[in-house]
Amino acid sequence: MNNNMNVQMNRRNFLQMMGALGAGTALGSCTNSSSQTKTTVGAPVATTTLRAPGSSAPKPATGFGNRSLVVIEMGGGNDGLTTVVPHGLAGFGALRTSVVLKPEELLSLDANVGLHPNLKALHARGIAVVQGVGVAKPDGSHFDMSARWWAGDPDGKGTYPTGIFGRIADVIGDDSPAVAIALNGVSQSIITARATSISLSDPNAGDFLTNNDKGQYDAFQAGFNGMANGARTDTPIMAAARKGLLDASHFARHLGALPDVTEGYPGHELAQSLAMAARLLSANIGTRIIHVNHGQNFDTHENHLDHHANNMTALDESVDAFLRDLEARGLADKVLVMTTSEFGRRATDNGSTGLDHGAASVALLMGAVKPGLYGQYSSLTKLDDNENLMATTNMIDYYGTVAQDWFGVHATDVLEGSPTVIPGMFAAV
Amino acid sequence: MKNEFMLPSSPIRHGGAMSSLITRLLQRTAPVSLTESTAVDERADLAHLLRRTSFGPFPFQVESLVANGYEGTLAAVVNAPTPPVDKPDLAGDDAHGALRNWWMDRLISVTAKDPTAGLHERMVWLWHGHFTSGFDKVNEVDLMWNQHMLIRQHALGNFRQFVKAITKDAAMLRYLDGDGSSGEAPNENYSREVMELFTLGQAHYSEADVRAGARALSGWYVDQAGVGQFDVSNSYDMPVTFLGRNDVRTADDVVDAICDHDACAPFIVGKLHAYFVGTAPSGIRRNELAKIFRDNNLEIKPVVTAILQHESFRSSRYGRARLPSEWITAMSAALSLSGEILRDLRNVGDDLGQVLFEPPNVAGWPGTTKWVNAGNTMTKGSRAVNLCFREEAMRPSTTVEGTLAHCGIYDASEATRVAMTEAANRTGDDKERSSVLLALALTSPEFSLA
Repeated sequence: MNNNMNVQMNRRNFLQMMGALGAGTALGSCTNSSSQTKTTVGAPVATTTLRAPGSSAPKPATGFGNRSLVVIEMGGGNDGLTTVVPHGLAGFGALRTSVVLKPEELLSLDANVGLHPNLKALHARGIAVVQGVGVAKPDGSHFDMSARWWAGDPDGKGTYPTGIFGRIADVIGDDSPAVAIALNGVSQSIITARATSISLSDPNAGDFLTNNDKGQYDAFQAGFNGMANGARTDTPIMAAARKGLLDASHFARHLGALPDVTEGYPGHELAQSLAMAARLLSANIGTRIIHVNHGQNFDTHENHLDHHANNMTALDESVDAFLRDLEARGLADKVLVMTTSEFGRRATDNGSTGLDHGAASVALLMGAVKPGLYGQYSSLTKLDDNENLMATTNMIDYYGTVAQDWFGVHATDVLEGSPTVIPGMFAAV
Repeated sequence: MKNEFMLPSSPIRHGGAMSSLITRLLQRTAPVSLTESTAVDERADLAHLLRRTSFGPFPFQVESLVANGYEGTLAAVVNAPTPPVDKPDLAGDDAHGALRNWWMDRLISVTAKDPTAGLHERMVWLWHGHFTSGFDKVNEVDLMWNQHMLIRQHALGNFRQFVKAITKDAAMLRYLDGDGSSGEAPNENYSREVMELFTLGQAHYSEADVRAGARALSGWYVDQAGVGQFDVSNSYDMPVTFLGRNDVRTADDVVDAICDHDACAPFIVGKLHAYFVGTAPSGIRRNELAKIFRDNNLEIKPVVTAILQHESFRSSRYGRARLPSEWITAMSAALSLSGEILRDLRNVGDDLGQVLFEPPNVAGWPGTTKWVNAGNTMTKGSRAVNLCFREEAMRPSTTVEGTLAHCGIYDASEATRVAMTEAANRTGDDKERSSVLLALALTSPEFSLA
């Protein structure tokens, strides 16, 4: 495993995804339904099956309409035990021999738990940590686990043709040309059934569709828009290709009018993505969710401490610059930043300065969040059969909290099973 | 499938107001007789064959093969000799750049020289994204080159020998952390990925197999000369139980257990089928192909031949997204690019997410619809239009049919033809007309598929 994990999919879900993308807007039945059960915040809800076809579309609660989300995916598997270090918890000293941070280096979160020393700026700003995030029956495969995280499908049942953020976008989105956007790599997490999502590499790539020169550009654009119109005889893949033209044409018009980039971001790949995210969020074009890949490799089978420390520095400096930019743009209390990663790493070290694939880890939230530790740290004395940390907070609890308390989208409108919302993470609307 | 792309002027499929509209729009093109229509169909089939078995078609190649027919051309494809390789100069500062540019140039030159001789190169391309290694982590050009030559050697050879060789390959040892993995602290990375991604698929092994495999694979390292070597003193000195066998001791034992596993042949033939046909095989078809693979002692060429000779291949036109490397080669030929402009286009894979010798991760490049999503459509369209609207750009034809044929498209959809015709009617002169038509053909949904 090397480099970004971002654009991969589990082959098991490949045809399903192909179908989802190809059918485009014809997939309304995948999301159009309201949950059968209402619940109060903080309580588990009854297990529901998502989306009875034909029932009315779910709607977000009122008052959440100006909030947006930036998701930072730390592909490769981020180690929880060196990101948020439980140095004072029972069993910590016995877990690892060499791949361990010294308690005196850490940034204190409470008496027993400290933050990686390179997350200084975020620590100073205030960071929220959800502890013990994972799934009940983890797998060691990047591809399987990434697919589960993208889909919001903790048990890998493969039932979703859409991504978790795509489903949220379907509920909160309007007819914006890009309710959800992926920067620095495509993400299956933003595959929608109804709303439009887009991935973007170069902010100037749409110029050929907006160039006002008469003559050949005018004729070309007429032809391009004509080719974007689907025909009844289109195969799913041909329909997907035409939809690519159509979405490109719509979105290009907005790209041409984005606010300026803010100077002063550091050079990290992540920082460049976040600089673009800030422009998109301040452009008022209906973009509510932006997925960015961190851009550095978290799959640290060797030399973990050095690689991971570099990754933490990039996270700290990039998000700090982003939050400063949002403050200047007046968006600081409207944007939440959350991290995801397909799994944590093995609780014990592998003898070659690295860490093999693990299970439960920690997730970080920044920006418009109440700082602090949420949930329970995974037990350090009771590991699973593969010497991995066990989850105390299910993936769907983490996602469900953001959906419900940040976006006002009922957790069971976008997640199967019984998501338990973690109370008190965000300001009330 | 074949009949979905009949000509708009065909009387069989069109009637009423729509038909007369299309007829009026297309009046500039000559009426098409039934015999010509059959010839067009054969050209469409030939273009499809070249899209999947070479990195073309390039202009005029399809027309040059019409005399051989589809069957004759397919026979030439599967029997083609392997074009020789000259090692490039990789000594410069940007060795990775030199290596990927060399290969992209070769994809173009091999296709340009003989469109029926591309199958071996296509197989090298497939295995490059299957037995992945990335330049960034391997970090030595000689290791990447040696692995590339190893892939060339086995590309249409025996799968078992291929896996044995790649398991001990220096670049692979480094990429998946086999380098220096010891019996005392075996690294699990290769053991897992060789089963999950290279041979069996995820459901066919346990975590215990991953650990046992890692032990049996330990002891290998990359020596000073950049060659994979075995150090018995650093290996695990006991037999392990792996995939149900209790006497597995060596890397070769691991590969034998994997290749003898029931899941191996179906997994590999599925990958080959998806690559050439564009979709996963049906259960029945997978079993048929797996039997061919096993009956031929895991020789690769007989399976590939069987896939290409089957009707499911011929009828799978425009069944998948065109990969960035395929798009770049076809673009460069349609625009007759060379020199600095070609060198610049070669690197568009960076923006599209396909950099040769640097796969996104160990699973290689996905064959997904992401290659035709809005973001990639903008990236590709931006390049295509800028290239077409240069003063010195080529202007191959003033007709819709002629322009599409220049781009290897003989079976465009009505929607595409109508849109191109309407656009052509908005242009001022022949020069502008041919530029706009070429830009549209190269940004058409058809050109973005293979």
